[in-house]
Amino acid sequence: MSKTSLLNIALIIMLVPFFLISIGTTEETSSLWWIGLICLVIGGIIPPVTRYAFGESDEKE
Amino acid sequence: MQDTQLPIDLIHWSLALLPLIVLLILLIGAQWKAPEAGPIGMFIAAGIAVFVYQTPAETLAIAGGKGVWDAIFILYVVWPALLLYRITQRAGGFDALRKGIERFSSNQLFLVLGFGWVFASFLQGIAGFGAPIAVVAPLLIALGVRPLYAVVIPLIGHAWANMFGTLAVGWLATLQVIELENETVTAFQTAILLWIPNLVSGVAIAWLFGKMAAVRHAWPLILIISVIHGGGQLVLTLWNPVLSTFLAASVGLAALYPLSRWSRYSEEAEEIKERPAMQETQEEKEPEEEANEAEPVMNLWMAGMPYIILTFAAVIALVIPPLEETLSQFEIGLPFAAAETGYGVENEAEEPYDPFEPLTHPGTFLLIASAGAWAIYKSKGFYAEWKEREDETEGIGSGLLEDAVPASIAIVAFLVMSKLMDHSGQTEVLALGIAEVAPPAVFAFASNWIGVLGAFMTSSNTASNILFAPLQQETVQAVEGLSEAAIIGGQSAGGAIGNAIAPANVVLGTGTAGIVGREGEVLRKTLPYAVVVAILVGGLTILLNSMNM
Repeated sequence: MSKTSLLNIALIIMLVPFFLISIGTTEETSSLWWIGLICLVIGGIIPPVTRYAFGESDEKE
Repeated sequence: MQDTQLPIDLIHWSLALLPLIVLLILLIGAQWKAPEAGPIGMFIAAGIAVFVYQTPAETLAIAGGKGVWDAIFILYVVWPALLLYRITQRAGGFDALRKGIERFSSNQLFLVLGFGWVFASFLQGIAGFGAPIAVVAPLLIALGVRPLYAVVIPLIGHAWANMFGTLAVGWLATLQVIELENETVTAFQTAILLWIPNLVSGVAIAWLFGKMAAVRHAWPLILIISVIHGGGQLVLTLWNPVLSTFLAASVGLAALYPLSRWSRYSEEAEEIKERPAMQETQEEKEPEEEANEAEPVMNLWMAGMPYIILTFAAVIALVIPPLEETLSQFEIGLPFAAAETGYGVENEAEEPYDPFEPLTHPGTFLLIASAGAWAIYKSKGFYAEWKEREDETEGIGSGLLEDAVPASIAIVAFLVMSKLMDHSGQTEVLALGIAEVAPPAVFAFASNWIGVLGAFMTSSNTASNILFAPLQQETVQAVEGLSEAAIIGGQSAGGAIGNAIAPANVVLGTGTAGIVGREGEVLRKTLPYAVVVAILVGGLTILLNSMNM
């Protein structure tokens, strides 16, 4: 899987929690906001991991 | 500010500062890319929230969800701005814009100041939400500015206009969270302080362009525009703070035409030899090469069409009160439950939380401009002509994800980090710590640094004032020798200055300029500007404070 694809997935995973946490906390469904929080953590881990998995390839000006 | 049991001591204060310090070290020192550094800052803020600030998981989740929502406001500028860039670029619009404007004025410094300072300020006056950076950075690149400088220049150029810009949303939010003794005096003193970042931004942009030779060449222009911007805003705050920046910035934009007729600014400034901001100097460009350049596929009027549509859409929607009221009625937002921490930091339930008004958001104006420009360029056959001439194979959508996604990740991470710090009480400890140890004169100096801190964290003058204006007012009431007008003015001016270094704003620029990953280099150039301006504003705040007492 390419770095771009991983970052695309990371962004989607980071955006999803908004709905889950909103519904989970207002409806008192803790499993929903927990899933939202975990999504945020997973989505946040991916970009720093790609730094080491793919290295720094961007050229300087 | 609420009553809490937050411990205000050096350890808690230092730990609250840690996420911001780590973020700066990773971005500037270690040269990490923003999408990689942002989540690290987010995790550190979360760790400190849980282990030091007694924040339960549900509060973390609520802060995270709200942070994502806050980021969507900015992402709705980034994505349409990138789309507009591609729609214009793939039709040969930027090539036409550059060649057309060069015929109008061949003075590169005048054009850089015109776009990077005057036009960026105008866009901030009406649109805001990062639109000046996202729109102006590609325009400057089209004019031959290096991508790095194309991000730095509008960041510096638009900052002063944040407080009363976007039709004074920052000012109106401040009035919502605190009750001022004298609104007019506070607005007036805020405008006095904001004149400093305005004037310094003109000088700084000229300096970035071509060091002292450029400053010497540009000084009449800088003075005239700064009197219009800073002086105009100052006078207008006495009449109507809501329109003060918009009107001053509009007059500044209109003043560019007579200034461009002045031979000093219509012809190239030969005396500026060193031009670090430009990709290609006059010396490097051979005359034959210039003569052989192909005619643009469209005229200047057509090339500027997207920006004309953008301006008209924003002005019509936001300046006509009945229309603005109608459009503002359509809101989107989801509710969040109340949140609290072990130290008693409470955030009330919100239904809905910070609703989004898509029809008055600059992202919508950018989409309208994109759709209008695409339809016009397509009907005129510009895409086919440019494709044939340049052997262009990439479509409009090509590369959009590569630029937008990393920038979007960084923006989400920064805004989540900011909300985590807010909901756990770290932000409050940072501000209260300064207020607790600073004597009146020092606090007067520090008031704008607190504003800078708020804007650095949230990328918003409005959010900075919502966060810290109540604390500043409480300090004024508790400590003898502080003037409310000067301190709130300092906070507001600091909130404006902080926009030049806010990581989310920086990423917005690097994203639209196609240089994601070079955020540290951008910050190295905007940070000295912010520090110098904050010192000057701090000094003037002390003076205003002493005059008011």
